[in-house]
Amino acid sequence: MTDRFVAFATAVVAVALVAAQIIAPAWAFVHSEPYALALAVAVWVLLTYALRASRGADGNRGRRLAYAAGGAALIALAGIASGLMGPDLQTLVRAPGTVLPLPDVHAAAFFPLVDADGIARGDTSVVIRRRGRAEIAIAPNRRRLLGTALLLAEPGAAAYIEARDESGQRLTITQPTNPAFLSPVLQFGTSVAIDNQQLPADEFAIPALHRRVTAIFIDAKAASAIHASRLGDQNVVLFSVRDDASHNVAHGIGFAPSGGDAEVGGLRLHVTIGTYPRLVVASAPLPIALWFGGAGIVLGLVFAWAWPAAVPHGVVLSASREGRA
Amino acid sequence: MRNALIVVVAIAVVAILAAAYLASGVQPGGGGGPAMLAGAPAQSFPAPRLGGGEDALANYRGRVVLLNLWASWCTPCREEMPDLERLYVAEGARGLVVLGVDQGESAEVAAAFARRHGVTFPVLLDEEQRYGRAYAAVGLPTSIVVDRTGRIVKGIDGALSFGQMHAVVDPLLSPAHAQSRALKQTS
Repeated sequence: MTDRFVAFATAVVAVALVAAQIIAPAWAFVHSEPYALALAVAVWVLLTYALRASRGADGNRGRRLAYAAGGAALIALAGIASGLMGPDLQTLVRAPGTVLPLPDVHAAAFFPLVDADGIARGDTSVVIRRRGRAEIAIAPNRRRLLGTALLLAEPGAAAYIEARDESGQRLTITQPTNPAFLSPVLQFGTSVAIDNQQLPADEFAIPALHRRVTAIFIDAKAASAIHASRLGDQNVVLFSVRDDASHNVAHGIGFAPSGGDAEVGGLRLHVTIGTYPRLVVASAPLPIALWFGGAGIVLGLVFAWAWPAAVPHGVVLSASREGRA
Repeated sequence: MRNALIVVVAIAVVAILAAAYLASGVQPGGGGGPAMLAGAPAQSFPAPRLGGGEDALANYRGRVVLLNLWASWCTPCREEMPDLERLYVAEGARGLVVLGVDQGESAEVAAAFARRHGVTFPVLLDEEQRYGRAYAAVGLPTSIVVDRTGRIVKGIDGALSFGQMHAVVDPLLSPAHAQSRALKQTS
């Protein structure tokens, strides 16, 4: 096995590992010590080859491949640096209307206000604000590299609730355990166990009627798993209503699909089910290092194979003299 | 040897750029609740007005506004209401508007509440609770004081006495304050 082959294989693995960090930022391995160790070994192998090849140890083609090895080493180095300088992996669930400082990214994330239609469409973007720079809107399922951080807007289950009393009068909804006290949007940040299944759950209150409501999000797959065929083949929200003293109330359990009403515990709850973005923040390689590294790889490979090997100047000179003779 | 030098220089350049990039960022403030909003532009949303028509906070630009978020079930809101009405009547001529915003209730409920407490100041019906969400209310009542230029001067969680309300709005109503704000805006 030649040095060149070892360097080539190492470069492929290193670039693949760094690419994995960008493609699957929530994968725990790309934020682990073995990942950093693997990249550190790759940097050592690649730089050793680059130095030796630049001195001519791998021939003329090797001299050019030293650029590619250097570029791959730079990408691997960026992968290691992101672990040291970038933010910890976290998923941030915040209510619409919330502004969240992101000190690791030197920015703030704004989660825009949304109505029932916006929840149903699920097209709300998270807006990243940085002082003196243009805003960045990250649409659902889109990602953005920002310094040594990767920001991903991941759609999370959400429900917009409208509450009325039995006579149809609209009622205030509060979320006493949520910093967004007056938000009618549930984001199911906790979970409850039903039939050994962990299901997303949330809570809200209707102070005018002294009611506390637990809402459990059940998608079609979960409904099948808990043998709740009555819920049908659709996403529903299951409501459990108690009074202020946490006592159960009559007819206090019911459910509604998106666009439907649940009549529970003296309340009529209209629910719109959809998604609202959660912000995943993960460390990522510095984009500029990836550009430089990628350019090094491309130039190294192009020069090594697309151009014929350069003939040393002295050889050309002696050949022409021989011709004259 | 020259190639090796290029690789090392490239790495050094990237490291320097990374350090410069990280050092150039902003340091956003933390905290929560309406108090953190001081200095920010006041957000406005159109909403039905009690008594008919549509209204919004933005329609009161040029006047000092005490935006008060309330609901009929909220006991401190009830207690605060006579003082809000008194302030509105006392300081209306100097350019103060008290703008009540009912959070999430029907017009009938809000109207009955306003009648019971003799409210004459304008009241918005915010069924979607947008004002409550935008102004980071952590409870009710919540008061937001907005100056003549539409900037938030103070956000307050909880009920206020007449003296406390007056102490916040009085400096904003003075002609000297209006002039200094106008000068700041033109400069």
